[in-house]
Amino acid sequence: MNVTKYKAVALISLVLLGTAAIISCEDLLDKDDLTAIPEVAVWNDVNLATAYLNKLYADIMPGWPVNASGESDETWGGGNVMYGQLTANSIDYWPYNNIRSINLLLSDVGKGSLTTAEQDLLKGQALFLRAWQYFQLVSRYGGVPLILSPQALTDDLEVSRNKTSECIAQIIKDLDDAAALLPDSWGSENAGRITMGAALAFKGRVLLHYASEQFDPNQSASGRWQNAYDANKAAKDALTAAGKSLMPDFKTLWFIEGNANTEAVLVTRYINPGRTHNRDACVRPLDEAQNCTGADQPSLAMVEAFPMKNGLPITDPASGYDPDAYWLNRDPRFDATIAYNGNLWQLSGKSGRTQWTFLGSQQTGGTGTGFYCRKGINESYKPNETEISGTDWIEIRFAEVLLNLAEAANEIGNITEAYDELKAIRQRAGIDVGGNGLYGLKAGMAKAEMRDAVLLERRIELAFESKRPQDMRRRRLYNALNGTKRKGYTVHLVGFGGDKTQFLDAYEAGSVNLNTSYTTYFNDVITDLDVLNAINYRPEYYFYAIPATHLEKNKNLAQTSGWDGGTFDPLQ
Amino acid sequence: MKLCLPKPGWPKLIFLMRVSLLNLIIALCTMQVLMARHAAGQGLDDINVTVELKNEDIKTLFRKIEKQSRLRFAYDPTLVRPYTDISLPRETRSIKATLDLVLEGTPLRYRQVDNSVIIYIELGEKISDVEPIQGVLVTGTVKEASTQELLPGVNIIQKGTTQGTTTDADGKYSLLVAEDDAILVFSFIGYITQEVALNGRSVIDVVLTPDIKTLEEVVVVGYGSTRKENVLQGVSSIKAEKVAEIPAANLAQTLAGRMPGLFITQSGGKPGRASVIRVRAYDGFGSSQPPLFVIDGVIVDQFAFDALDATEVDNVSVLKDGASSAIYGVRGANGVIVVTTKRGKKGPPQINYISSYSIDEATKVPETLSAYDEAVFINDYLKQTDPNYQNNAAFFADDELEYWKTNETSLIDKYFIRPTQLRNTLNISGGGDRINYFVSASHYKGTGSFNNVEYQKFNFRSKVEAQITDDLSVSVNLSSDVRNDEKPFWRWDADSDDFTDFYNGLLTRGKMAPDYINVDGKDYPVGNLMKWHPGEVVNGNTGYNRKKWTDYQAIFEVAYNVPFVKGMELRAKYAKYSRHDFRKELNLPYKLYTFNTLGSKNHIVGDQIDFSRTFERNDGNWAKASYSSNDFYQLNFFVNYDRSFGQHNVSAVAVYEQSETHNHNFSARNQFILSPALDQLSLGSSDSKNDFTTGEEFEDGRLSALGRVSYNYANQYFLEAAFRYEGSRYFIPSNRYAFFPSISAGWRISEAGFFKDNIKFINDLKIRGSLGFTGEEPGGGQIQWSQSFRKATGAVFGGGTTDGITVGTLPNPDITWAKKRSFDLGLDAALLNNRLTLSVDVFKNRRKDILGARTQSIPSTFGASLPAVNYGIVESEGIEFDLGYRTRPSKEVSFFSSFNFGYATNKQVLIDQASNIRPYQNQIGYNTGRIFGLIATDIIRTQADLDKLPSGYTINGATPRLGMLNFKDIRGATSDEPDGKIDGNDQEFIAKYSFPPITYGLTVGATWRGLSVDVFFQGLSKFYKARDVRGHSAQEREQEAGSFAFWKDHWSPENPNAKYPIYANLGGNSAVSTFWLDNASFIRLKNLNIGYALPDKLIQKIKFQGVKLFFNGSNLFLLKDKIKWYDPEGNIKAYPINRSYTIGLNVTL
Repeated sequence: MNVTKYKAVALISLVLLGTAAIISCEDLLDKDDLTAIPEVAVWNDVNLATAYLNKLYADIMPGWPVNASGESDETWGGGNVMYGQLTANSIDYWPYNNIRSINLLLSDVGKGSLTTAEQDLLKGQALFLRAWQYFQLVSRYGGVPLILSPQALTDDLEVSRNKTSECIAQIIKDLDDAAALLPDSWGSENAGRITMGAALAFKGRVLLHYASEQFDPNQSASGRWQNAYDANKAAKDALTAAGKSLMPDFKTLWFIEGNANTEAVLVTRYINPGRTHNRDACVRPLDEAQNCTGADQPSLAMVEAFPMKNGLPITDPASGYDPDAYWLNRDPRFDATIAYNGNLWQLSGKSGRTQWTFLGSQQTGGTGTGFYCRKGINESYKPNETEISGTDWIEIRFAEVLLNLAEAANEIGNITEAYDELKAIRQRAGIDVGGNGLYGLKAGMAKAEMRDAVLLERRIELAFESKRPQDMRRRRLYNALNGTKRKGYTVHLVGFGGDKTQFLDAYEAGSVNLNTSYTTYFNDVITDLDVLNAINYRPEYYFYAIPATHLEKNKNLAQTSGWDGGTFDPLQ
Repeated sequence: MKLCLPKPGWPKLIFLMRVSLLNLIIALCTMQVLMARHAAGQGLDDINVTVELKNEDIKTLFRKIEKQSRLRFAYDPTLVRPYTDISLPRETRSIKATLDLVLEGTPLRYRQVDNSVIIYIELGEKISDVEPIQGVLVTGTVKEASTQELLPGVNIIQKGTTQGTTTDADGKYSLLVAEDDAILVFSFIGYITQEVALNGRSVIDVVLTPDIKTLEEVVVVGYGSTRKENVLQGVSSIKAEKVAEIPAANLAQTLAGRMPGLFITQSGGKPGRASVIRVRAYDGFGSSQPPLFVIDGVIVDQFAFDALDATEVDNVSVLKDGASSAIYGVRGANGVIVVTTKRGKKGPPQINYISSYSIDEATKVPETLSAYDEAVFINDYLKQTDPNYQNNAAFFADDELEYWKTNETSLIDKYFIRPTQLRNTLNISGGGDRINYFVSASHYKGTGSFNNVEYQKFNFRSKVEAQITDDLSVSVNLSSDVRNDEKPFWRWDADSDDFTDFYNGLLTRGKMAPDYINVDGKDYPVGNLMKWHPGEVVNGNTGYNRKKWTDYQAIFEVAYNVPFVKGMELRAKYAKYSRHDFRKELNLPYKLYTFNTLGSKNHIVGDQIDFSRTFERNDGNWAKASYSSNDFYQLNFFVNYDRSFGQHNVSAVAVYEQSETHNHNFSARNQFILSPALDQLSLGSSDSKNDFTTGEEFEDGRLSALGRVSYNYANQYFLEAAFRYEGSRYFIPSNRYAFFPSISAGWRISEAGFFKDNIKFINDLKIRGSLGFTGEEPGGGQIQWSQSFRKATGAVFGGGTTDGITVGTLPNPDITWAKKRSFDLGLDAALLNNRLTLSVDVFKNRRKDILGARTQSIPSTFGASLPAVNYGIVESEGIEFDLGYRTRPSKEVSFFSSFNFGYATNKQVLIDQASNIRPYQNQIGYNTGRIFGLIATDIIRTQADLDKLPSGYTINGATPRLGMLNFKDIRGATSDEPDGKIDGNDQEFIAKYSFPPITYGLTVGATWRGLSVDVFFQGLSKFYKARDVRGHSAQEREQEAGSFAFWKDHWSPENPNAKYPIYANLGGNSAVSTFWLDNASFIRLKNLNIGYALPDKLIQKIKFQGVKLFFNGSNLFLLKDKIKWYDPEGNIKAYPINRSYTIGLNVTL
């Protein structure tokens, strides 16, 4: 062998040695998934288990109900539901993924090393969330398959729909169990979590729904209103005991956060940066927002529903209502809820800014109804901040609990208690107490009158909080709207020959007093908001069809009656 | 370099020959041994080869020399047949020395012509000794066509006899024939055989044309290479030289349509946008998956493939069938693309430089309505749908309509610029006896269709191969590419290179709004209508999105010829790849100005700014940087064996392979930077709540053993088997290793005696068949056999946003690979003196255990995120052929043409399908990619049409109105009878293919002297697109959006016979239906290349080897196009595809 060959052998050996150093076969294929969290760890560490629950909150708890109002007389829109144009596939709400995750927590939370106390807090919240999910389903479809533990693939997965009554019973059971496990309140770090009071308040809401015409069209079921009353009474008492009460100021209650907000019973919290929503953008005029527009523009009916500051309806000759200055001397909640033409609305922190809604007043779009919604709108946000809003959403306010109680009390004949709750609401609203101490409420109302009074109060107090569409569905009120069209104002500038610039200059100069001479400058023309179609809410919409995609995967799922091929009776 | 001496004691040369046969053939002329001629490249005495023979035939010697050099031997097989028992000790010698040694004492002589070594017979001087024969003495010369040089050693036989001779060293011959009407057959290996009838003549001069079919074409396959005639599987390959002059940001773009069975589409024209690459019919689930990419034996991804510049690539092979890709195992099911980069050629340095500059334009920008037409369109819609339309804020007054007739702003006209491409490539190659090298560098720069879009790519490669000793060689292949991509930041496009959202805004922004208005010499962006501004984005005022990728690859290889096992080579290979991806985003708010409005309905933007209403558009205000790095290595050990035993030729390879990947990435964002001019993370907000960071790591590893054995008998009967055994972390440890075998066979009929003797017009004919098994892993990079939870964001509580954990996918411990079985039958033929070549493949595949989540067959109440499960079965089949014709009628003229065609379809045999569906929804038994939709009948044109509809009739829930599209009422929710409701139940499969089942390409080229023309047409056929008209039909928000121009012919009471309905978002007007189905078949002139090579005389003066000027045109026109409104290859709403005009220079020194 010559030198070159030695070199060659040396080189080969070196290469082999070098590569042998690289090889470590046993590790080669056993690569961990570096972003995964082992399941077993989750139930051994209360922080991880809580994080699991936190994600469920994020996925399940409702946010600001942008556009929900369309399916009611609060605003326009609501498209296919309002015009009777739904297909069987239109309403697809099917959160069984969340239900499985909840069931997984409930069945596995005890498998690790968490203390019983830790487990109970987690379970209490999870049970509430499960009840929440099932009630969302039941209010849409009636009875649905009740799945209460995580299924295995080997189980019989072709489940049938449970009766509506079975579902309600399970929801109530979950809420009772949750209430037993949950605390009265949480520390400030955890403010926003579900409390015992929230579980009871939601139970009150569920039973109120279940007693109403949606589930009992002929009001023939016995004891449902009593159950609703009992639950709401219990909720009120428990919440009061836990320090809950109406906030003093109706307008600003949305901006008091955490435990300082005594009215927030069930809340979805937002924070910027972090978790934000764009409701402010969607509701505000597009000139003062971005990337969303057109939500919650109040209809004329909504505007007219507010009583006067003396509590009397505007139709009452004694009310002092001036149709040419319809904004004067109204229930203070009117100003907190409605933005109208010529309204001082200091959006984007613009001091002295007036909101105009007349045709051509806005550079972009404009309102279709002549009005905007002011409720919960943070006026200080700059336009770009409106789509990253941090305003909390209060799903259950203490006011709703009182109104739920009033309605149930009236239905079981306890009209006095209904009066008491309405008075409390009106007092806080800032309505004059009146000589008879009834805050403008008609004295001596019978049950039917009181029912209307409670529903009206709900409509005003809870306007644009998604409660009105629920009420209309719950109490089957759509029939009264069918065949009609919702109305709004088209506001025409008539003063100064319709010259916008001249008018605005005069207004700036203070020479225009709209309170006294609105009609000199403007002509409010009532226009149809439902342009193409009249409202046509169909009777079968009180329980929607289950979309074909779910029926196709499970032959045992029956369609809701009233829909093509439907055999499932949601009233049972 | 000093040669290694053979071991003492070895006979210097053992050479046994049988001379008896020889005498019969020897003709009777005289000649001298020719000296090797220096042609292009080097002479035979410059090239060293290391050859050893042990009782082997002379053909083996030639083959061995061929293997080690670029030379090819041309000879008459009968001449060399006697020399079967030659031994030669292993030694490195020049080819000349080797041939001199072996041929010494034989009548065989040799001569170099270009890259061929011609073997011929030294003719004796004994003709006078032979008894004179009565007849005609025919004499003449034989010339070579391309060089016009005289050709020695050509066989001349009188047809039908054994009478014959060969030409001498001067290409002369003489032959006595008995009859004056005899036919002479002139034949020579590598040349086209000619027959010439004497017809009384006695002087016959012949010019032999080279057989252009590249006989010795090497095809790269998985873990090796083979000669084209030995290929037994469905493999297509192309020399990158053919596309070297096409400017393209990605290599894939240049290959579209060039090979049958390879589908490459590019639906957007932004430079640097990746193409969709697919091999044959996809037979999996979901969107089609790309093939596996292999560069110089290293398994990489499409991103690495796209980095290559055509000038650094030697060859691209596409392994299409299971037998060729089985050797890539669990990742081979979607086909494999194998790239070999160039290597150095022995010889003096050869320098090639290509430079080109292109000007591009969009092939087709969808036309949009003029401002006036748009206003009329909106008015027509409002008149029909709003009884109070005069008061509707969106309605245009007459004075405004008049204004729009002469005033409009088209953003596309204003912002669309001509993209340009600049490309420079330089490569140098050369080598000596022991070392060769290839060095290349290239730069590509493409700009976009609007400002601030730019893509640049720099490539470097250096490959050095060194013969350290006779037995040992090493090579180092270093390459790097740097890619820079810049575009405006547009948050709503999620970084897509198609800019769908942004481009849409540009394309369909109504023409009524001016973008800028000049006030006192300054342009102010107008914010009256839309609250965002494409102009500000295009002009770079909103920030940027910059990316820089830096990739390095190093491949070290050591090869060792085992001296004690004949034909065995050991090889070790280590490849390291690292990718660094750095991105930076700057996202800035910008100001928009509100102008006064004019016109009786305030629709016209005036020229007075209302500064009190100036506002800021804010899509975020941050600087963000992210970095990701990807480290990968692959280690291989090879054992190669290649040996012939007489007629038995065996080659085998066994390989061990392991690889590991480690990725990590992080990104950081800081909001509210101090100033747009200071785009640094560190100059953002000091408040830590405005910071945002994240990061992730990923590891992967795999382990494989694989091998292949090929055998052939006399180059006539072929048999090959291959396998891969592979372990992957995506499967549970107890079931982690998979085995993928393949087998192939072939018969080269043209080598059979009966064929050779009888069928002359077919020069080569081979039939072949293969069966292979490949696999596919679960996608997504996540382990699915074990349960895992993942981090998420939780809800907000008092303490702020909480951490969340979410349930991962349900585990499937049984998860295994999908299995694909592929049959491929093929035929390769060469006809008409090899001028015509044909290759046909028929394939039939079956993929089973296809992975997919069973979301349809499991009730939706189950609720879990379902794991992939092995259950699906899809079959696919198709045919491909490749037809080539080339001829060279004279030295100055050549012509070539090739046509390739591919048809592929599939059938779903078992898929995830809901159990309770109705027959019309059934997909089983049909191909994937069908389009499901309504069958449009007509527009409801008149009141009479409307009245004819049954009462309660609804169209997607809506009450029918004039101008709406109506559809065929086929069935109801529960019955198969029409139900008076047009809804999802009335859908049918309205088109069979949304992906083309047929693709074809035609290349036609010719050269005349220095001039060359090369035209390439590409066609896709038999597929449809559902036109996406949703959301861009009529105004939803006043003048914001523009509509496509076809809406001009919309229904209105005045235009009842319109082609289009009244408005897209009404009823089912915009639903997927036959109305919007576009036949997307097209034939396009994909590429045209015209070149002019300066005459040799000229360039020799400047000492150049070649100078060529060229023009290249891409996507010049469509020959067949049924859509008209948009480019059939693109998308109506995405960044357009470009046509480009390129001029360039190709210089070889």
